Amino acid sequence: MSFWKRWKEKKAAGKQREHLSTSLESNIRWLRSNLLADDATIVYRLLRTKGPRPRDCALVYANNMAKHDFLSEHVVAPLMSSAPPKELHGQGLLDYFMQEAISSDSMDTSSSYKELAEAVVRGTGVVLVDGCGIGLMVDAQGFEKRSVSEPQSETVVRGPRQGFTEDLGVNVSLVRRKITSPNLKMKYLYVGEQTRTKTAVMYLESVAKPDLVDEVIQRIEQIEMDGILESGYIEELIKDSPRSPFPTIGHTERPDTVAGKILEGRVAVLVDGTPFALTMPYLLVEAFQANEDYYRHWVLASFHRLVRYISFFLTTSTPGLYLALVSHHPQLLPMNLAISIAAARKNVPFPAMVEVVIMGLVFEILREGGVRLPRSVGQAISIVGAIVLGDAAVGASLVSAPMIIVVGLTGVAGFVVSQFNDVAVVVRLGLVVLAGLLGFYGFLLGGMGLMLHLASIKSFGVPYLSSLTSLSVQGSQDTLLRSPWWKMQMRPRHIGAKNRQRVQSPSRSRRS
Amino acid sequence: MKEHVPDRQGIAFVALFILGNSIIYGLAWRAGRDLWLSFLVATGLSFPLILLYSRLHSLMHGQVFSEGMESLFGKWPSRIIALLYSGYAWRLGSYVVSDVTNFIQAVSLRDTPQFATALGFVLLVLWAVKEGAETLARWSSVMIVVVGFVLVFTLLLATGQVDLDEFLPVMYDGFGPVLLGALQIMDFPFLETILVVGSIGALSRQKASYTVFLTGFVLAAFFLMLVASFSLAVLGTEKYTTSYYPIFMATARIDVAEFLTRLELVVGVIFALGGFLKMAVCLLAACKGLAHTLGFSDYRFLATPLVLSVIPGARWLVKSSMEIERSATKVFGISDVLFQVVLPICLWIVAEIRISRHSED
Amino acid sequence: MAILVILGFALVGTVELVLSPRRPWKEVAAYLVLLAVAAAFSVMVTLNPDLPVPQPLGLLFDWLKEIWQGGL
Repeated sequence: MSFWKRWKEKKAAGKQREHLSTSLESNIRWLRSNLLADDATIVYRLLRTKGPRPRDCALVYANNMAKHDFLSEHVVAPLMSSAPPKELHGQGLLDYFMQEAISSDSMDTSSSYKELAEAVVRGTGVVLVDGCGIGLMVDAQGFEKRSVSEPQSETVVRGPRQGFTEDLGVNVSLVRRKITSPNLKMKYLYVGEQTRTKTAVMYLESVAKPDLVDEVIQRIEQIEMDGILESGYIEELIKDSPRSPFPTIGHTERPDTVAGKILEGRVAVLVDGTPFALTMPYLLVEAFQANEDYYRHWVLASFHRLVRYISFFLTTSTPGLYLALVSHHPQLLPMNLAISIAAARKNVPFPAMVEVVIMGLVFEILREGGVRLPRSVGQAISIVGAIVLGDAAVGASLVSAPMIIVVGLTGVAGFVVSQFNDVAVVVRLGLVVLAGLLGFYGFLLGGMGLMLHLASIKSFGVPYLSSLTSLSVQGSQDTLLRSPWWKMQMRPRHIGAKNRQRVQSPSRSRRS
Repeated sequence: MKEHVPDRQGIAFVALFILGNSIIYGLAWRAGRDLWLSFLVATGLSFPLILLYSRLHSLMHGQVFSEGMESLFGKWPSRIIALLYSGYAWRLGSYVVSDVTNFIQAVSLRDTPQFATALGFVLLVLWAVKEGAETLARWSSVMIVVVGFVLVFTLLLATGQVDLDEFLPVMYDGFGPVLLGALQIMDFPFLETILVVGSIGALSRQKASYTVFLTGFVLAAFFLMLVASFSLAVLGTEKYTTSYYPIFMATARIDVAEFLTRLELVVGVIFALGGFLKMAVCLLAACKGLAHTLGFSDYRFLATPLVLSVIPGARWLVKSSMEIERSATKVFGISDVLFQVVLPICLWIVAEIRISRHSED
Repeated sequence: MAILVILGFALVGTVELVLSPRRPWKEVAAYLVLLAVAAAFSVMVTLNPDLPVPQPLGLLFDWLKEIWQGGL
C-alpha cells in the first residue's frame, strides 16, 4: 500500500515538473540538477534587460554546438539593451522579445523541460525569462562541418563534383537544389532512443506511390534502437529479405544520383551524421547503373553497362568455370589450351579445388588489408601481393600460372560493379564448391539457384528482378542497355506507377 | 499467400515447361523426314485441348486444386481428382529427373553417380517448390530470354550444315507415320501442359488464361519444330531416328573457324534449365494436389517428402536409360490419354453444365 | 545403404521441424507420415531396384491392344 502511494506521489511530482515554473531561479536549478545535470558543456548566461522594470533572463546553450558570435550579437546584446514596457508579462513579454529584441530568423517556444533540454543539447540557444513559464528556442546550431566535395567512393569523369557531407541540412539542400519543385516533399523523423538522429524522408509527391512512402515512414518509425550512427543501421533494420546478401536498399554519396532516383518515383532517406543516403526500392539493375551513364552518349553508356554485366559474370563465375573445366571436363577445352594448363598444373601439389579456394582467400586478405590501411601502405601491400606472393608462388610451384590469371581477372572484374563487390565473394564461393562437386552442371545448378533467389526477393513490394522480367522493349529500356533520353518517356513500371509519363507530351520530344 | 503471375511471365513459364526436357529427344522420329508436318498436325490437334485447359483454368479462377475446383465439382470429387493428378504429376516429375540425370551421365559426368546429380537438382527443385509459382514464373521469364537467344544463335550458326534436301520427298511413306509422330508429340510434351494448369495459380485477370496458355504453347511448339527440323536437316533422317539425343549430335557438328565449337554444351544448358523448370512445375502440382486432397490450404510443408521421393521414384519407374528414351517418345501411353484428354474433357463438360445451371438460378 | 537413407530422411525431418515456424499439429502429423512413407519407399527401392511398378491401367491397356491389332 505504501509503495503504491509513494509511486503515485512520485508520479505526481514528476508531473509537476514537466512544465516550466514562472521562477527563473527554480527553472535553472531544475535544469542544472536534473535534465542537464553533470554536463560541463552547458553554459548558463545570466543577464538583465534595461527599461523601467528590468527583467532577469538566462541564455542556456551547449558550448561548441551553437554559434557563439551569433548568440552574443543577436540574442545577448539586443536583450541587454531592450526595454520591455512595465506592464508586459508572460506570453506578452515573450512576444515583445521575439518581435522587437532578438533578431533571429528561426525561433520557437516551448514550456516543456524535456523539449527545451533536448533543444539545448542539439545546439539551440534557449532563453528563459523570469516570470514566464515558457522558454524561447533560438536556432543557432553551428559546429564544424566538412565542406561539400567530390565523394571518394563514387568519382566521375563527367558529372557534378558534389557529394553529401555529414550534415543533414546541407544534404537536404543539395537535393533540393537539384529538384526545385514544390512537389518534392520531405518528412523529418527522429530515430534512436539515445541519439535522436534526425532523418529526412524525401520523395516526389506527384510520382512516388503513396503506399511506398507510408511503408518507408512506418518501417523507420518502428525502429527500436538506442543509436543510429550511420544510414547502414537503418538500411539493415528496414530492408526486405534481411538474410540475403543482396542489397535491397541502395546507398549513394551523390546528390545527383539521389535526385535521379527520386525523379523515377523512389523514396530517399537522408540520415544526419553520414554522407550516405538510402534509396528504396532498390532493384538488381540499379547495381549496374551509374549516374554517369545518363550524362554521356547513350551508345557509350550502353556499352559500359554491358561491360558491367559481363564483369559481374566474370567475377562470380571465372573460378567456378575454371575449376569445372580443369577438374571435370578437360575434354571441352581446345587441345592446345588443355595441354598448356595441364603442363602448368603438373608440379602443383594441391587439387584444383583447394588451389582455387586458397587463392580466392589470399586475394580477399590482400584486398581487406589494402582497404583499411593508409593509402601509401596500401600500395605496398598490393606490390607485396602481386609480385612477391603471386610471382614467387608460381615459381615455387605452389600454384599454377593460369590460377593467378583467374584470380586476377576475378579481382579486377569485381571492382567494376562496386555495389555487388561483397555479394560477389559469396556467390563465387558457392559456385566454386558446386563446380567442384558436379562440374559444369554443378555450376549451372548454382546459377539457377542464384536466379531463383533473385526471383524470390522483393524490395518494398517490388520484385527485385522487375524490369529484367518485363519481357517488353519498353520495360527494359534502362536495363542491359541505356536507351537515349528521347526514347525514355516512361518511368520504370512498379516504381513510377503513379505517374508513368516522364515526358508530359511525347510529341514535344525531339526525335520520336 | 496470394500468388499472382503477370501475363508475359506466365507465357514464359508455359513455353519453358513445354520446351523443358523434350528439346533434346528425337521428337516425332516415326515421321522421319516429315516431322515438320507432324508438328503442324500435333499443334492443330492440341490447340483445342489447350484451349480447353485454359477454359478450365479460367473457370477455376486459377484456384485449381483448391476453392476453384471444390466449388465446381464438390468436396470429395475434387479431392479425388486432385489426388489422381497429384500422382500423375509425381510420376512425370520422376521421369524428368531420370531424363536429366541420364542425359548428364551419358554426355558429361560419366563417373559421377546419378544419385549425386539427382540430389543436386532435387534440392533446387525443393527450394523452388517452396518459393511457389510466382517466383518460378519470374525465374522463367529471365531464363526464356537466355534459352531463346541461345537457340536462335545456335541455329543461325548451323545454317551452313543444313541440307534442305533431307526433307524431300514429302509424305513418301503416306500419312500414317506423320499421324503417329503427331500423336507422340501431343503426348509428350504438348499436352503435359495440363500440369501447368494445376500449378500456375492466379493470373492478372480471368481472360488471361487463354493468352498465357495458347501463346506459350504456340511459341514452344514453333521452337520445338524449328529445333527438330534443324537436327534432322543436319543429321539426316537415318541418324535422327536412331540417335538418343539428336540435337546434341547436331550441334556438336558446328564448328566456326575452330573457334566456336563445343556448342553441344549450350544444349546441355538449355536442357538443364528446362528440365529443372519441368520438375519444379510437376512437383508443385503434385504438392498442391496432395494438399488439397488432405484438406490443407497451404502446400509448402508437404514439399520435402514429395520432392525427395522422386529420386527413388526415378529409379523405380525407369529401369534403364534405353527405356526412358523409348518411353519418352512413345505414342500416347494409356495413362497419358486418361490424364491429358479423357479427364480434362469430362471435367470441362461437368464444369460447363454446372456453370450454366448456376447462371440460370 | 538403407540405414544411410533412413538417417538422411530423419535428419531432414528434424532440421525442417526445428527451423520451421509453429504449425498446427495436423500439418505436422501429415508431414511426418508422408516423410515416413517417402523413407520407406526409398529404402525399398534401394534394397531392390527391380521393384515392380504397379500398372493399374494395365488391364485396360491389354484390352485396347486386343481390339486394336494395328500395333504401335
